[in-house]
Amino acid sequence: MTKNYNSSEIIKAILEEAATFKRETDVRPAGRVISSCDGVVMIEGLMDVKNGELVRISDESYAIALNLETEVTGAILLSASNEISPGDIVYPTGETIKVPSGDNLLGRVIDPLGQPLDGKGPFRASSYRDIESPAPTIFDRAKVAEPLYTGIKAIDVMIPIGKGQRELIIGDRQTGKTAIALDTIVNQKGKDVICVYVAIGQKTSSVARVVKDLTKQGAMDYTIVVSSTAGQPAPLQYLTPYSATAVAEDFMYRGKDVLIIYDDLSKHAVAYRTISLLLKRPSGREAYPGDIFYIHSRLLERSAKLSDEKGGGSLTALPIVETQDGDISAYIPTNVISITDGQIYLETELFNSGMRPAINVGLSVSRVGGAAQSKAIKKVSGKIRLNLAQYREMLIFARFDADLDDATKEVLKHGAILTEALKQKQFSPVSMTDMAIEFLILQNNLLDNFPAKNTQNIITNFIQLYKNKGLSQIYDHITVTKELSDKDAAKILDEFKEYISKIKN
Amino acid sequence: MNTLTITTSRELSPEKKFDIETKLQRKYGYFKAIYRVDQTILGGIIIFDGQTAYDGSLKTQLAKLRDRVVDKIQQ
Repeated sequence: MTKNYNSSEIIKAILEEAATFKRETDVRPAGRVISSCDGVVMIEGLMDVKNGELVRISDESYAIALNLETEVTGAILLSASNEISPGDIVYPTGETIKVPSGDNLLGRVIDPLGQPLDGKGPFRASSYRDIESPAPTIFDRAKVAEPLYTGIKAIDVMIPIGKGQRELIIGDRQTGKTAIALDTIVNQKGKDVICVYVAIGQKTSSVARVVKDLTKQGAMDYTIVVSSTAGQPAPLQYLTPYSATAVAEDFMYRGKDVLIIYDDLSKHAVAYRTISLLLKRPSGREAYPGDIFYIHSRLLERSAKLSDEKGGGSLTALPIVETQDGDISAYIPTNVISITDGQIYLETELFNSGMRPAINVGLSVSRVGGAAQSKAIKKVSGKIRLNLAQYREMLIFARFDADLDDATKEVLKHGAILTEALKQKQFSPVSMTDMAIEFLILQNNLLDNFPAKNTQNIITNFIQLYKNKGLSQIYDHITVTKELSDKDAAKILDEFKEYISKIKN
Repeated sequence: MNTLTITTSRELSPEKKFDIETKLQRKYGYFKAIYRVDQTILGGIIIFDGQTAYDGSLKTQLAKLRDRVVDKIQQ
């Protein structure tokens, strides 16, 4: 709340205080810069500084104390290092870094220290939160039971995500990882979910593109972008995900549902490796430091579904990890896979052959699974994974164009139709009800007499007609109750059979 | 032996330096003096002895005055 002060009040106060002011030397503990190199500052003195404490070197230069030794403290600079010289005095602030949070951040693009990056001027924060806040305890949590819809058919039907879950998006470069994340954000429109997109070490042009796309899709109203691009110092890139999580946590502890996307943790690991090597910490596998697992586990543990006593809010995390050559058994990928509650695995081969989103359903999993699915979707998702798995096995035979038995031909036919149905354009979210109807039709194998490539058109046109015609009642019923009764299912299938007999002629 | 960093807003004359060093010797004994010139402190002197900073700079005093004024207005 602001109070307006008039200038005569202010002048009066200044004159009064100046008249009674007593000059006092300010005595406090401090330190002195011994060396400043590549963003790492070695400081002598600084007794009693705490781990992770913010220290001030001059008005603009702040650093975080990370290496505490008896004679010397190692600190990482949060800004460019050309202002620092040996001999500079360093003052401890007594505080750890905090980041602003609140509703005024929605629609804004900020850096990890809370400074606006979008040129829209300053904002008023409703609160400040420690960047490194502890994760919710065991007793603060509730079971993950509510679905978080991505609007992507392959995910919501076979690899469903629940509010409070951590689901990894993993794949080589240019396989559509960010696209899945953005689609999920766009699908939250009108669903009362706050979204936080965290860009770590990316190209500035890429972040600009993301903001542009989100604005165009009308998603920026409920989204906050926290960004540190590749040109920023490694310490700033390292802090970004923790800072963004603190921003998201503020909403979660106020009872809201939040989605946070870390794009990507591979670059985050590289930034931390940079800092660790400069601090001369011992390096291990792939030159990463010993606590490279911990930097991600403590980050992702902060995502949770809170109990009703704690407000019932949730923080769902979609971290992104980039693999090299599809190697998911490399160091960082295996680390993050073991932390998250499942992964969505994207393959270059699938992407290049036109299957987009390029999700390998066989290798992808959601450990929360059906617990976070509406009854309607659960009903129709039955054998789909199995059918797709069988299809992939049989594909080898299809290439030989050999004489195949009928059973195999069936599997190939249905598999091709299913695969076609799972293709989806970017920014084209599909509602839960549409998905339920589509997969009900697919489950009953009613499209055998049409070429596979017509699958999407046939079903989409049917749903369009169906929505507007007389049976829109059932459609609304499914949407509201999230269930698909046998009676409704039978009705839908009858209508569909009628529809396809019409278009055959 | 201590190393003391003495920061002032303008370069000190040799006489001034001698004067300060003599006075500090009473407390610190023999020490090494590093002089720094930092215009942003606006005036006064800051003496750092390796552990504690004795800040008599004009800048810090003005900051304190400002804090007092802000407190007073918000009452």
